[in-house]
Parts: sequence; C-alpha cells; structure tokens
Amino acid sequence: MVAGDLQFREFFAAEFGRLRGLGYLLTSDWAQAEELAQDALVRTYWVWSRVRGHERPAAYARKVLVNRHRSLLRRAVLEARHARGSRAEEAYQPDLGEDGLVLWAAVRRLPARQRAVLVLRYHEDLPEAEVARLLRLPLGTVKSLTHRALARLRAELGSPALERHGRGTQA
Amino acid sequence: MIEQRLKETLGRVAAAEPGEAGAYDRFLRRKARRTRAAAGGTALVLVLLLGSVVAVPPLLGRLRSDDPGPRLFAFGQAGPAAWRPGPLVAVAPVQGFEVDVPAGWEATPTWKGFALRPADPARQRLLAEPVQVDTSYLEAFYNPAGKELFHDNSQPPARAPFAIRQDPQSRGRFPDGRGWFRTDGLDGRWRTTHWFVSWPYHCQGGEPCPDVLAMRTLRVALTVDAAAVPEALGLAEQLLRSARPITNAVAGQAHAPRPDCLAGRSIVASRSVRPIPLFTKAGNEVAFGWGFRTTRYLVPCAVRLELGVEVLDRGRRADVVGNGVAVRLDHVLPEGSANELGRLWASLTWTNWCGPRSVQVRWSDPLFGEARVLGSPVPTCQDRTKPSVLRAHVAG
Repeated sequence: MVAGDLQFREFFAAEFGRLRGLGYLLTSDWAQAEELAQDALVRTYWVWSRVRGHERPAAYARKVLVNRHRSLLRRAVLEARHARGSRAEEAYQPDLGEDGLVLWAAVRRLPARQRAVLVLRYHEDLPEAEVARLLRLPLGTVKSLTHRALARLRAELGSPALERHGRGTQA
Repeated sequence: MIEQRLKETLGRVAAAEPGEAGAYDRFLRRKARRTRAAAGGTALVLVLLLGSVVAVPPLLGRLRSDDPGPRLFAFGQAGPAAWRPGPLVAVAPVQGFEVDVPAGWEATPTWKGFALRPADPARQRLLAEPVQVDTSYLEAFYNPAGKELFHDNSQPPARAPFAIRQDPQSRGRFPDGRGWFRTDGLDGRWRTTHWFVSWPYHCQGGEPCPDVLAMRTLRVALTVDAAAVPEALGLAEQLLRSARPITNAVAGQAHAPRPDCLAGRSIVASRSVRPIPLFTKAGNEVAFGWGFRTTRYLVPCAVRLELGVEVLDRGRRADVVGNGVAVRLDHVLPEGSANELGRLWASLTWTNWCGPRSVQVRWSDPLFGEARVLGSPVPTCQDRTKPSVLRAHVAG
C-alpha cells in the first residue's frame, strides 16, 4: 500500500462516522446517510493527492457531501412524485430521552433548507458565512432561515419541558 | 437556550449511528466500481452500439457449436409467429435459458420467450392458448429459492401475483435438486397450470445485483382442456428438466445485447407534469417527467428513446432556452442499484417563467404519442433579467 493510500485509510477511519452522522441529520435515513458519506469519500479519494495538502481535508469531504445532498434532494422530489408506492416508515429511533425525541421530531419536520442550515450551524459549528458558502445561499438568507427555523422550533416545542430546560441552562 | 438544546440533541442523534463494520470494504468496492465505470463508459457505449453486429454471431455460433441440432432463437422482441417443428433447441439469450422442444410439438419465439403447441392441428384445439415458456419474477413466499435467499419469506405478499390467484399450490424438487413451485386451477373448461423453477441472474461484469433479480424464475404456463392435461404436463416437466442456463444466468458469462424495451410488455412507462418546490428560493419549477420500470417478466432490455416537450406561447415556440430539446435515453433495465425492479426516471425541468401563465405544452415521445396540453403548471418568475430555461435530467 502506498503512503497516500495509507494516509487516506486513516482519514477514512477518522471521518467516516462523522460524515455519516452529518448525512443522517440531513436525511433521517441511515442508508441514505451511508450513501452520502461513501460517495463523498470516493470523490475525496479521487483528488486525495491535492486535498491532503489542505489544512482541513475533512472540510472538503463535508462540502462534497452537502453538495451531493442538495442534488439528491431535487432528485428525491422528482422520484417521489413518480413513485407509485410510499417508502416504509423508518423504524430507527435514537435514545434521546423524551425532550430530545420531541425536538428531533420537530427538526425532521422542518423544510429542507431550514434543517440544513441548523445542522451545519449547530452541529458542525460553522459560522453563518461558511454555511452560506456551502449551501450557495446569500448570507442574509442563511440568517433569516436560521431565525425562522429556531422560531418554528420554539413555536412547536413551547412545551414546559423545553422551557424548564432553557431556564435551567441560563440559571 | 434552544440553540444549546438543539446542539446537544443533534450531537446525540448523529452519535447514535449503527456500527461501521465493513464500511471500508464497501468503500473499496464502490471505488473500484466507479473506476471501472469511468474507464469503461465510452467502451460500453461502443459495445452496445456494435453489439448486435459483433456479439450476436459469435454467441450464436458458439451456442450452435455446442449442439449440432436445429435451434430457434428469441431475442425479447415482438414479431409475427413463425412456427418451427421439434425436435429443436429453443434459445433465449436475452433471458438466459434454452430448452428442448420435443418431437410432436412446434415452437415460435415471442417477446417474452417461446410459445409451444402440438404439431397436430386436431390437438391444437385442446389448448386455450399455446404453452408459454418465459422468465418471471416470483415473490419470496412462493419462490422455490425464497427460503435460501430471504429470511423473511413466511408471509404471502399483500396481493397474490396474477398467475397464482387462489389456485391450489404444490412444491417439490427435481431429482437434480432444483426446487419447483406449481399452481393448478380451473378457468371455465380449461385447466391452468403455472410451473416455476428458480433461475439465477448475474449482473454484467460481476457487478453486485439488486436482490430482486435473485427472484427470477423460469415459468411454464399451460391453459388446456382436461383431455390434454397429461400430455401438456408431460411437456412442461420435460421443458423444465431440460432447461439450461446460458448468458446472464451463468456467472461470468457474456450477456446478450439488449433489445429495445417494449412499452406495456417488457417495461411499464408513465408520464407526468408537476410543480416542484425550489430549494434555494420560494416558488416552484415545473418537471415534465417520464418513469420506466421493468415488468415481472424480467426481459433485460434498453430504453432507447428521444423524449421532449415544447412550450408554446400563443401558438408559437415560447422564449425558453432549451425549448424543444429532447432527452435522449440509452439505459439498460432491469440492472440497477435499487432493491426493487429496475427503474429509470427522465425529466425536463422548466424554471423562471415570467411570461403569461396560459401556455400550451406540446409533448413529443414515441411511447404516448404527441399531445398538446393547455393549462399546464408554469414555473415561478424568479428573475426577469435571466432567461427561462428547460433542462434535461436522467436518473436510473
């Protein structure tokens, strides 16, 4: 095995899980998440000789994954409109506790753009400008999507449990 | 703060992922597939184009050289019935089987395999229709290979296949170990029998196959008068016992060139027009789409079509970039990557229309014919300074 391949294998071991997790947050489907992560890593492998010199090659793979998700979203809409049968309801439920499950369910109900903005902003810890660049949206749009998404979560989850948690954190 | 709560929840969701066992192996396989696809893409097109000229004669020659007897070929295409008397070998390279047609019977190729009838015209009247020999998808619950292939085959499918209906069913094995499944029923004065043996399918170039192709069976279907039942059942058993796998039914063997798919026979096609929400802005674009899927006969074929739409504004071609441009398809079915029968989607996406809403759309495709449609949805006007665009997409 050449040095580049060995280096890539280490990169794969370090990044696959994180990328698949990001894919799941964007799609709510582990099979699609695996597809997205594998696809992003294959595309990263093709340009590995160039990318490995980057300060953060993981950022490149993440960018590929987000781009791929954008194009799949469009295709998914198209396919869903053609498909005769509906997809089976996903059985997977992470162990998040009652409040976490309610919040995750609300995130899953968000429109795709709002959800993508929240995931990149709060899970990937990216600044708004980077989120805008990744999603190819104006910075103002990212700010307003974030605001609207959080407002919608607050409105949907204005439950006593969430408010209690919020006050507790502040205190 | 909801932001903090959200951060924690997203982190826990992403961390609760299933195991990563085998992920790197799956990556290596995918990488190898992509590399092969990139290298072989151009060559594949040439092979498909030249296939009927270059590949068929050697294939047939090789098949002929195995057995000097007369042969009759079916290539997955419709044509006038041309009956040939047995004994002969009926070969379906597209569907991966060959069977022996005995003396006293005659055969003709059909788009899905072969039809057989007694050579004696007096006995032909004892058949409601010729005996059909073809390939067919059969659900795991009924499939002779279902138990070996699938763990969860204990429940019948929601809808019984047409061939099965409520007829009495039986199962068994030929002496060589091959499992069979059979239904025997009545249809008025006619006795109906459908007899299946599992028939493997190996995807081209050793690529992993969709699971559903493992459910392919070789089927013999009879609808005969009671007086002809023993003779017809004897023929069916002889056909199934003598059946030999070839081409795509044998691992590593070359596939036959794909014939053009036949709408309503080897494929089912649909056509639709729908508004689709925009991802980056409010509003919608419009997709003119076609969908294709293989039928349960599992006749490998290629969708080679030109499909198009033209937007008309007050009877004249509207000012839309790409207006009237066709989508060109040249795709193989049923092989694919899905866990279901092969599917293919093609669409033309129309964006940014700032003209009048009352446009007319003219569809042109050889499957459904030309049609002019008034009242089609129109896309949202996003930017008056930019052109309206009609763009092609294909997904398979």
